[in-house]
Amino acid sequence: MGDGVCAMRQAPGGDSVRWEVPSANRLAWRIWDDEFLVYNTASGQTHHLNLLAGEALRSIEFAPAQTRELVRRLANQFEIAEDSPPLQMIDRLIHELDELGLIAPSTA
Amino acid sequence: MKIGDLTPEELHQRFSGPGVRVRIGPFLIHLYSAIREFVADFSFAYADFPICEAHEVSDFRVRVARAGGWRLWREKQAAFWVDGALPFAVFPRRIAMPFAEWGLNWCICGYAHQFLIFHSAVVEKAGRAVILAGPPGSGKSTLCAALLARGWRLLSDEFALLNPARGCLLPIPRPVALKGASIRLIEELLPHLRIGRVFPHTDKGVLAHLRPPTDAVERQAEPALPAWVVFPTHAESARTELVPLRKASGFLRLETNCFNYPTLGRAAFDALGRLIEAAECYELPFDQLATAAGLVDALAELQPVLGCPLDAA
Repeated sequence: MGDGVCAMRQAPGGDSVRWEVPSANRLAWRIWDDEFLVYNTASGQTHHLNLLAGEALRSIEFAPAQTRELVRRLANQFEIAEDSPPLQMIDRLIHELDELGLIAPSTA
Repeated sequence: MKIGDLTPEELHQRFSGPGVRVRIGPFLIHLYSAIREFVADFSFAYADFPICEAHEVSDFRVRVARAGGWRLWREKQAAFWVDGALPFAVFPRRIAMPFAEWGLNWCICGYAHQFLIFHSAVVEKAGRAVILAGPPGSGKSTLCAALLARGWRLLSDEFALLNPARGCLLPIPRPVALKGASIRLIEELLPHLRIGRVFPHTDKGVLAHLRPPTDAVERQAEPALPAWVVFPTHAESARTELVPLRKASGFLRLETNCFNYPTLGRAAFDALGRLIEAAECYELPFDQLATAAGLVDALAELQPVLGCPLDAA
């Protein structure tokens, strides 16, 4: 079981990569307050995500996005500035979601 | 007919001949054994369980048989057969009863994937169940016994069997395995219930089986809805209190106590999610058993009763 965001690294591919939830990863969700549990049918793993990670993944699941687009969506959703501290961690967050196999560079 | 309705000689003839089909919760076990001591121990602990008709299909065919081998020079041996296979090494015949109980656990965990199975005790009051989940030594069996003394019905001391489609817990009120000092404690807590022979040298130390309450066996077809999930932890000098857990934490804690979550996959995620959605989750560190039981008992007293009786599963 993965347990959220913990590593700090530049997201692979930089800003030009478009991230998606691979079609093989059908995700199932349980959302309680600001905690998210997501089940990945491809890996059989359950992941516990915080509010930012959960909403970011849901956004990418809804529609693939480049990092900049994702920041814009989350800033609108949370009504915060695009350069606010939580969103400065977006590269690290994307890297974590990629490492967990929940998202991947879009092949479309 | 119940097992306890038969005389010792009738029991021996049946177990050593055509076998006895015993209904244990949702399972039908077809049990054979020619070992008189084992038949006596089993029949004592399962005295109130019903014997089924010969035409009913069994879930497991179990044979506890005499075994030979090089270990015989030390002491008599026995073997545990399931559906014609021998999954374990032979074991001392003097612990055939505890071994058969572990063997049945193995059968259920390994094959009963129509249920989501948790390592926990379950008791019920007014149709609502509390799941007491935790590893061995957490105090769940002792707390379970203390709740029986307060009028709760035993669904299980070992497994919570969750029907994933219906969301209800099915009883499997097998004998309670008491270890070490808890034997004396349970004797004091539940003086009206009977404890079988004490097995002094098992892999888990001194062990005895508490015969389940007659009422629990007679109502073993009555499921219950999960209302609370409690994670007890017995520790000297712990402050005894119910500490609410967030839903996600409750989910993850209970998942670690689930035997077949990976096997059931998405169905397990959905079923456990619905359970946690409907239930309240608590940690229960405790030093004082009576206080801990009182806190759990108060949950049922304080929260309104659901008015939806469940049909038999």
